[in-house]
Amino acid sequence: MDAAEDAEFSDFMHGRWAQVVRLGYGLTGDLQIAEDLAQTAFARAYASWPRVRRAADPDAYVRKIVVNANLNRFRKRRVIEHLTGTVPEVAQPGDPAGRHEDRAALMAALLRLPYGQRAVVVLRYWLDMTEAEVAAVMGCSVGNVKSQASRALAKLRNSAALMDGGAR
Amino acid sequence: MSIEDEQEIRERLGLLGTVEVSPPPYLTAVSRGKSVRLRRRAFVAAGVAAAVVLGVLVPRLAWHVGQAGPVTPRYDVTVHQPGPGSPPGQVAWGTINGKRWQIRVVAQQGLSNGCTIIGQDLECVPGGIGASPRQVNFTSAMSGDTQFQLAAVGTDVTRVAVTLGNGAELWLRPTILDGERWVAFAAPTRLAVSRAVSFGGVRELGYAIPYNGASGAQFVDWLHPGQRGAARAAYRIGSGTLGGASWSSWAYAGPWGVCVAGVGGAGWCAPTTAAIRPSGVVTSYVTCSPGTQGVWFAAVAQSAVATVRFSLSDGGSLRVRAVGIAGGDKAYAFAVANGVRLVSWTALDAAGKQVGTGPGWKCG
Repeated sequence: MDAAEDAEFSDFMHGRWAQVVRLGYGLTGDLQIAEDLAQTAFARAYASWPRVRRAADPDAYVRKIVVNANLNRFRKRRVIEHLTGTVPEVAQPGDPAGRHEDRAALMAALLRLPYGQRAVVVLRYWLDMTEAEVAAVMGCSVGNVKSQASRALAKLRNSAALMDGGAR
Repeated sequence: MSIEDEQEIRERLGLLGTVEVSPPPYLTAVSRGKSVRLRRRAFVAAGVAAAVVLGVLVPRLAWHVGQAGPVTPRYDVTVHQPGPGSPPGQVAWGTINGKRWQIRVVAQQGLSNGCTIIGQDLECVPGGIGASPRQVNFTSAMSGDTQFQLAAVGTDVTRVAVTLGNGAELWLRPTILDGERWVAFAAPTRLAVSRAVSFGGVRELGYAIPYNGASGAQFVDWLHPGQRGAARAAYRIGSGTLGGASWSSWAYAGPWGVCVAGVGGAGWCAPTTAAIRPSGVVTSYVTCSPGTQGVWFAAVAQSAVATVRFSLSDGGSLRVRAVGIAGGDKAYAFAVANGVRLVSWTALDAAGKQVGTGPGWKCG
């Protein structure tokens, strides 16, 4: 890659890094794993940058890698998710909105969803992607996205974690 | 508080935006990215080296890649037209051994033509690809083990039947996008494509037997119904060593036309060699490939040409024999080390008489 492409990639990565890490966090509930996933995604994007930069939506490319890399993490290493009521995050002093407790409750509820439903929720409702865009990232049909979203919302409505932890 | 509607989950998920994130590890990502790229190149180089070895030791084996192919029942390929809710621009989707693929035609700002592959999805900006009423005009792309084939089809074409090397038949019906008609399919790269037949209603309009090379099927020439294609033949059009490694280039003639392979990392196909050589020109190169050790060239020449002598910038010269291939024209391939330029060429006939001369070529 030449200097101009390097500079372009640098701008891309610095501009998207935080959002991609937060996407990983939404999928895993673990900030360290989220940063690993984001780093993997940007490394692969760099390896194919001349092609990625020409794509209609380079963001979709990176998001797809994060979603799939996390899925592969499960397949390859037989990672078992431990479902807990809390996430390893400690409330910090000076947090007037009780943000950390709310976030912990949110993550506990998300982590109780099957991975596909969780990914649909985060992509559809946090990143505000259309159903078609979510389907493209996840490699499934729009109908599948709709049904996963519907099931996920139904579970979240009855989530004890959100009711308890999220009460303000 | 519980989740009552989509708006509420959106608000709750806004908390993800409050996660504190460390600065981006730019240098680490770049370093890892370079490693990924090196691994990919090493993989490609190993593939090319293996192909060259196969081409040298068992050319007939390589030749058989162009044949209809042995039965490979382990591949299960499906193709479907877009349905309600399909992504915009989708021409076709399907599965290969259960793994989903799709091919889309899209408009991308700043890109006039070309294809982008993301996973098992091919997105093409078709540029000037079009088709006359009875024509099927394929373009292909390859990613890993998958070949993607997208074709513009003319207004008379109502379906295209593609037969794969394992006997499976794919029926492609045109998808109309912005007034243009398209068909598409994907298949494993290692599974040969035996033929494609185009139909207008129940009437056969034409058929094509593609060349199946390392990057998948190349649809070059279409034949009329019942027309016999040219016989298959393979010709070694050049060989040698460069940087201590031996190489050889082959021309494969057949019902598809002529395809040249083994020109460094490049290849080239045309209905005939004459079709690519400008009228009246004695010899011209058709493809070239710069590598770490040097540059490979493949060229075609008039039938009268027996050898071509190149004057080199280091004061030396290179003499290359032109090989006659089907159709009467000739082809040849050669390589020069990096840093050495072609200053001029002189074409000679079998008696050593000069047929033509011209300035040297530069790759790219």
